[in-house]
Amino acid sequence: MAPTEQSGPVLTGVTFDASAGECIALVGPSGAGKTTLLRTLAAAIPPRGGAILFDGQDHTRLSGHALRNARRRIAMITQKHDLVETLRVDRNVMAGALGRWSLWRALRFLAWPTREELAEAEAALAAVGLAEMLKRPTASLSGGEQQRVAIARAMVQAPLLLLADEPVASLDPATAADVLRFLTDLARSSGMALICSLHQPDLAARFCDRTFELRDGRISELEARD
Amino acid sequence: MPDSLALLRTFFPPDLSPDYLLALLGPLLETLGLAFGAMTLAFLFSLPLGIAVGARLRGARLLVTALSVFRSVPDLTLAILCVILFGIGTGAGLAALTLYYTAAVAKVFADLLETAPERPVEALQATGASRLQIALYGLLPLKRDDLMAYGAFAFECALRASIIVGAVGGGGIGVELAGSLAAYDFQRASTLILLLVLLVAALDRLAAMLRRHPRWLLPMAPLGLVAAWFFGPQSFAFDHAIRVAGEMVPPELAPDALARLPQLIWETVWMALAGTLGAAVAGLLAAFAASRRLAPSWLRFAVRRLLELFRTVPELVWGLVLVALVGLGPVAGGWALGLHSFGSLGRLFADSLDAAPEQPQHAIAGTGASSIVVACYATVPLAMGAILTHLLFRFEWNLRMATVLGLIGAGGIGQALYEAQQLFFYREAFAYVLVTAALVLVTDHLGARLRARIHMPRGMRSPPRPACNALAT
Repeated sequence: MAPTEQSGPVLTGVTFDASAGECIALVGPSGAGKTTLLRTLAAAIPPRGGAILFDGQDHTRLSGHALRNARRRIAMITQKHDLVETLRVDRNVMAGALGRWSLWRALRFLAWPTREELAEAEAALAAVGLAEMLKRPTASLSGGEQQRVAIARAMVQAPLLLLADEPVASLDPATAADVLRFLTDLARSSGMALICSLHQPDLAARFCDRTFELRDGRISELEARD
Repeated sequence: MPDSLALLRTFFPPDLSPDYLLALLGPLLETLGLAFGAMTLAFLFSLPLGIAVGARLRGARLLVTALSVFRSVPDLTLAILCVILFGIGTGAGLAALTLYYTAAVAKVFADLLETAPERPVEALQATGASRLQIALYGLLPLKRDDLMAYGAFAFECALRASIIVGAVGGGGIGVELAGSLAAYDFQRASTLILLLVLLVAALDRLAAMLRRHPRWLLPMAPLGLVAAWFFGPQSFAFDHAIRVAGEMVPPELAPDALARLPQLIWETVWMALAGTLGAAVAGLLAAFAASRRLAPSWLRFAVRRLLELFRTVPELVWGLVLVALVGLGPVAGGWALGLHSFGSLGRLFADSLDAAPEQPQHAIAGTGASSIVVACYATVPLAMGAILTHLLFRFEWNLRMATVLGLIGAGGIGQALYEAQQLFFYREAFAYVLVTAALVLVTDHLGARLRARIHMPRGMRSPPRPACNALAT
């Protein structure tokens, strides 16, 4: 696999697999290509060559509706949370369901959310400790809270694969450990694979099943510590 | 409606006979002369004022603040006042534009020169230089680029204003157009509209060039002075002007005019509201089709050209045509504002949609949502702050224009002012000018308060206030 940005190859010969319920960490210096790899896995950018087999299907060959269906089952949390600040928290959380909703339902939810839909949003928020924030404007939340809303959105998406790009980069050590514990527990309990990029190899070894290092455009698996 | 369509047909074909086109050279020259002359005079008056404020000369700031009263009176309303004082012709138009732009440019120049970097100015103070020397050796060179850039922008506004100032007797092509429509000579009116559209398009190019190279303003100054000499008030009948000015005070409204005032204000506000909201709905729909992110290139190209066409025709020209088509009254005014605003808002809304931060849109697309759903859940909510800001700015602008459109028969305060002027009821006319200024000030104030409450998402800046109706094409 050779995922590329427009400027030329960033990574070459990247080969690895992830199973349901498995937690994988990607470590490496800044600019090593961790974000590029995650975005390629999320089908946000196409690789120049190779294949990404997801649930038995090569999503690099998909387009249109089929690609949207594949993306629906891959959720991504980024360092900057990527929430729509101008929508309320409940709208942002339920945006995770858009891939499985009809156009009509998506439009209707913006204006008239049902009690069941709000309950689903509240349950996801409760899981990340923000149940009381349901109707708050997203812009009024702190950075840490916005990140938890992004996690709640990913939970509503109910993906088979959760990609997390530097999910603890801007957090203090104690909160970083809490977030990683939450994500890995969530992955293991719901049977989804988790691939997250991290700067701290010790956190990777503590919480993830396997750790891969990206360096000089190549990937290698690090030995597990006992 | 069938009557209006039949009337519309009489606008075609435009009169393109060589004799008529040759006869239009004079008014065309007048229009250009008005803009060049007025702006040169405005710069000549406002630069010393700005320097005086920058040099902290006593009383200078007060003078500039006092001058800013003129900015709250729309330029065409000022033109009516000048027609009263100087009589019909280019002299009145030139005086109105000079007064309006001196007030506007002096304020900005003063603000710019007051905010020059402190260190170099302190260094000059340490040499024992006088305040004026500091202004000449420090403030002016330090702020030269900003002054030039704003100068180019103000020049563009003046060019547009000079085209329409004739509609109330200020000279130039506007006079011809108002005259042709009043005489039901619609074929010549459509020639003039065609000419105006071409002129505005050419001026857009000139203005864009000046914005890139503001220094090119300098060689235009001698040209402007010659124009001011030719097109300025030919005989300063000071006795007459002072006598008329004396007849204007104290401003007064007869009891029946006073009773009619709320209705006039409502008509003006209704015109602005209806025009802005109608244009906003149509403009938002067009914006989706003109957005680089949301529409295919062929559709985008077609819709953007259509929007360009609508905003190239000034509101006042739309107004003149619509008054001829649907008759006197605020309905024509509302349509005129709406048609022009549709062209402006459509383009500005499309640009706002394109400027929405990308990452949240990618995130929503990543859930498997279709592009329409991504637009509803990310693009539009993210762009909404900018869209509302543009809408409020447009309403503030349209309120000014609504008072102006009345001057050509679209109802409201403007029409009352025009009628009072025609009947030589100068006290009443002055009272209407003051009411107009108050209405504009209150709307600007309310608009500013509402705009301050609009939340802009991270990565998106609040759109700046357009200094005039200009919109680069």
